[in-house]
Amino acid sequence: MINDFHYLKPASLKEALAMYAEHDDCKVICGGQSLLIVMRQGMVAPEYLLDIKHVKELSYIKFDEKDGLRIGATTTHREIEKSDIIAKKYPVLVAMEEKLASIQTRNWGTIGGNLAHADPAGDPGPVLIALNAEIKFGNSGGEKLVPLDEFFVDYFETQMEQGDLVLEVHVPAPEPKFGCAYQKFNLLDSDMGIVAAAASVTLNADGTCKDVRIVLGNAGPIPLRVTKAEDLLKGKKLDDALFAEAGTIASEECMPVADIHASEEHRRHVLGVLTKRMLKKAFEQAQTAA
Amino acid sequence: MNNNDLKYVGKPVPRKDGPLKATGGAQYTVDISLPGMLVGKVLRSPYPHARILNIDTSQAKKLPGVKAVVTSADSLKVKHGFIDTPRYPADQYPIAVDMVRHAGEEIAGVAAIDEDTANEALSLIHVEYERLPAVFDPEEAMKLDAPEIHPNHPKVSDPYKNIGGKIETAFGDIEKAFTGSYLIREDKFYCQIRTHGYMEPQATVASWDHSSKLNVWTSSMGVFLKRARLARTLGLPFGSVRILKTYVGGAFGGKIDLYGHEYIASLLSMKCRLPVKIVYTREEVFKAARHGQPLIVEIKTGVKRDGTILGQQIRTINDSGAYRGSGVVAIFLAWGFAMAPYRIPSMQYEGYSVYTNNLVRAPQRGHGAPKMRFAAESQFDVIAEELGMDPIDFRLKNARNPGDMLPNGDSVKNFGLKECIAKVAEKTDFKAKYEAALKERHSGSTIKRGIGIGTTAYFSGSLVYPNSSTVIVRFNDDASVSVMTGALDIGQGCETVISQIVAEELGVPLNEIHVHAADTETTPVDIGSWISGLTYVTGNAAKKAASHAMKKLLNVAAQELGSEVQELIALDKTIFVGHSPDRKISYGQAIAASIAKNKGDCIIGEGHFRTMKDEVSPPSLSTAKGRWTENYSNYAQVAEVEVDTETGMVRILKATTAHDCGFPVNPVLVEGQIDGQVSMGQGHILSEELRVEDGCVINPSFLEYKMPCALDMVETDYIDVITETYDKEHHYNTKEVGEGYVSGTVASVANAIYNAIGIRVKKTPVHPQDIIDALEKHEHGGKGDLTR
Repeated sequence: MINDFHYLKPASLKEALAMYAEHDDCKVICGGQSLLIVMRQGMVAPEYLLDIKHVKELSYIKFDEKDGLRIGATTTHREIEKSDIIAKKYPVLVAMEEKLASIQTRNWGTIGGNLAHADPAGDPGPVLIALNAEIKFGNSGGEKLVPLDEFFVDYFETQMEQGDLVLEVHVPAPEPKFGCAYQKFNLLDSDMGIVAAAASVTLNADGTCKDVRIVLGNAGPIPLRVTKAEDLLKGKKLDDALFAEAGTIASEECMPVADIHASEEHRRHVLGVLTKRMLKKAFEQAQTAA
Repeated sequence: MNNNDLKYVGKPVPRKDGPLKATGGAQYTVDISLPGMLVGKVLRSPYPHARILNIDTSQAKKLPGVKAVVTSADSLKVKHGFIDTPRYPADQYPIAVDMVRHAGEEIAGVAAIDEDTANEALSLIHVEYERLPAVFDPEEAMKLDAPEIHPNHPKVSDPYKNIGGKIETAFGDIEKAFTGSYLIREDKFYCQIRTHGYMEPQATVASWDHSSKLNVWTSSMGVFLKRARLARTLGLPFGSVRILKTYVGGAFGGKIDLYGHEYIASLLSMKCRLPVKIVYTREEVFKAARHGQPLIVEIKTGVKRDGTILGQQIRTINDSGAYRGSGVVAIFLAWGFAMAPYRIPSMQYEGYSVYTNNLVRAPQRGHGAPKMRFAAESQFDVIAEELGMDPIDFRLKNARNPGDMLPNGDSVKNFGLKECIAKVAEKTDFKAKYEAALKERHSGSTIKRGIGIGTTAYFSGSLVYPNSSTVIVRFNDDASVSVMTGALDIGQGCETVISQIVAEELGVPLNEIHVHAADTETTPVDIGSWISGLTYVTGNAAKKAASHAMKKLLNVAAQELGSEVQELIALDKTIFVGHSPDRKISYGQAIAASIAKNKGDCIIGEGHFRTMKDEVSPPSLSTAKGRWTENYSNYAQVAEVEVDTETGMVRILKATTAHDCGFPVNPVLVEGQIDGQVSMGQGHILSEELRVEDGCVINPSFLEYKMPCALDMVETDYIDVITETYDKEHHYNTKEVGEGYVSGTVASVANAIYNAIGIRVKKTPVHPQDIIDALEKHEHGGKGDLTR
């Protein structure tokens, strides 16, 4: 059963940050798609809930050819999924959102809430890291911008401290000859991934690999970059054999944990397969990109 | 009458309760609110097997806000059971007396002014247990050194323990059949425990009123069975217990029989004389309610060189859980699902229902059929392959013909199985796809496709309490119609179907048919929304009641118009003389005339119907002798799948069903039933499993229990094989359509997986990891069966 709590409803970002600073035993809610589950399980029982659903200043999608994409923290998954500019510039984000839980959840859950929750099985984390995104968070005292790659610290833990709110996600403008792909492995459509893999590939003009990112979902305590597998590919002329080898390295490098849905061994195996496939898919996109 | 002349029956009319449910107006049990109503909660055993040494409720009783606390000391200690016969007497108390035999068993109940107080009161009840050794695997529980949960059934002499029931039956000469066989196959198949997945959790409101009557609203599958069980365990006359209608959010077999919380809510209300509501949490549903039956099937089949089946020997073991529940019924029904669809000249069958310290089992959509057909249909394909036959020819060779007599004395009558098999094979281009998949198996592609078939036959209503249905059809003064039926619409649409039948008989539009249903005090007895007989039994009762009322109406019209009844035509609520249509009378005028001139007769029709009217009793649960049903449905289903050989993921691309349900009274409801069962079968074969450790469910939520949702729905297609007609002059024969199809999906997907990758599935569910492991074993020269 959910505990009794005090409900705080700020009207502006300033007020939200002030309220958050004032109340110690306080959790931020902005849809509750993650929080209410753990509250109902009794795992989280805060004295205060700070509802920032109505802080409209944080709900936006902006794109600039040079600056790239900026998504406000309270933007819903559904808004990202239905954004024309995102569909055009970052189709992988739309594809990811289309398989993120149900429409009801996407209508109510937000990108900021998802990242702050820091579930390693979450979908946006791996994709955004593959897209080289940064995250801005802050409190009444100031703001901080860090690569999303460094934001996650451990299971359900981020760099944020009490009083910090997620403010914005920034995704750089896509480079020419760039591709990015994501797939999760689950028994039910749109369920949480048993495991998942995102990969991005940037090619040089000569077709060699300029940059590559491989980020695995639910393969460790955080969305996990497998840098040994990435290093194998950088600077090389990519092909199927290399993708397969990178997959093998990724399956060794990751650190998934077994549960009732799959053994560690099977998770490693599937992560290797997904890595190989996403690399190939991202590579093919990069090859055909304008 | 030609079926084409029908106006309401056979038409895809939308459900009567659709708008109310879609707009939130339907009142479910949780929506019932009565003055002074209390919240009831149940204290459950944390242990799978223990002796209760002491229960101290004194602190709980003292907590402010607590109005009543009950334990077995407050009860009459009357046992109940899904089966309660001389051979299988009831074996379960509705509230534990001195012993608990499964985790989650009801020990005490509290009623308090709110949920917090009720929960706190539970924590203040102190129970002293002496833990006892427990056993959870049925084959382990059968061993003589296993802990004893209940003594063996007195009539079972096998050297086993914990046998709650046994069924043995045989016909033909099995020894001779095997001696004369060209090929004999022996295989063993396993199934998991699957929950029903009803969206509305168990819920009950009980109110002991000022006139010493117990009023109960409860999410169920039939009100008359609930009344009988509650009255008996509470020591009340049937007339003092009233079960009222509420909307039901799904049941699938999981809400039949008496549940402990229904008894406890009643006991609490009787004690404190205030209404008490108990609503399960989802976790409680998973951890304490009854789920399906995990049957183990060992099957040995002998065939001639040309594929003719000569004999079959089957042994089933059912883990019935801590009490008998419906465990002995599942092993009986499994026999029927083996013998009904195909001609098997000799058969020997034995089934064991074994007590374990697991949760009690309930019937579950198909009740044994998905497990038995999965085993039999899988083995058919193995045999066909070894003989060099294709799966379609093998089945066509052995499927029963119309009019075949079954060993229990039933006739399969207008049996459309062969037509179903032939049509579904043709529509899906089965043989070509089957051959193509075999060739593709050794190509370099990592994604393989396969096609497979599964079939079954299913009973349509049988003799189980309350055995029959009566319906009353009453004309109102404005010629609208009130129908009184004990039938409970649990989501399958029976009120719509009954309305269609009444509308057809009376020529009154559907929106003027008002159904008053499922109230033990004000509606006549009904067979219930289970054993797949409602459209047949209640529907025929409704038909008789409507035609009885219509006959009265026509008699009055004939008097008034000065004509013979045979000359009259009823159309749009007006009765004409056929040869001079200007002589007419409206239904309203005829009703008024009846009241004025026929001693106040306001025109009420009554109809009753019982299946197998010449049979005194249901078939034997020990020997399987005795007739089962009047109408056997049957169908053939083809699944097309895709297997990712790198990840092990299996996807069902399409399920095509050819079905003989007699004739569809409402085709859109029939398609809805098929889709629902395809989805359930999909969960059974690919994702759903109740995970239990030491008798405790460890995945008690829909986050961890993977039930397919709308987004997972596979593409479906249907082929109608119509074998019956609806005739205004006689009773009609419809056949089951609500539960048999689950088995088709399970079996056809298992066979399609084999067609795709050459791995024989011998257990469900099939996890991706199982596929990978089996493929690896296969590569290293092993048999590559996918089994436990």
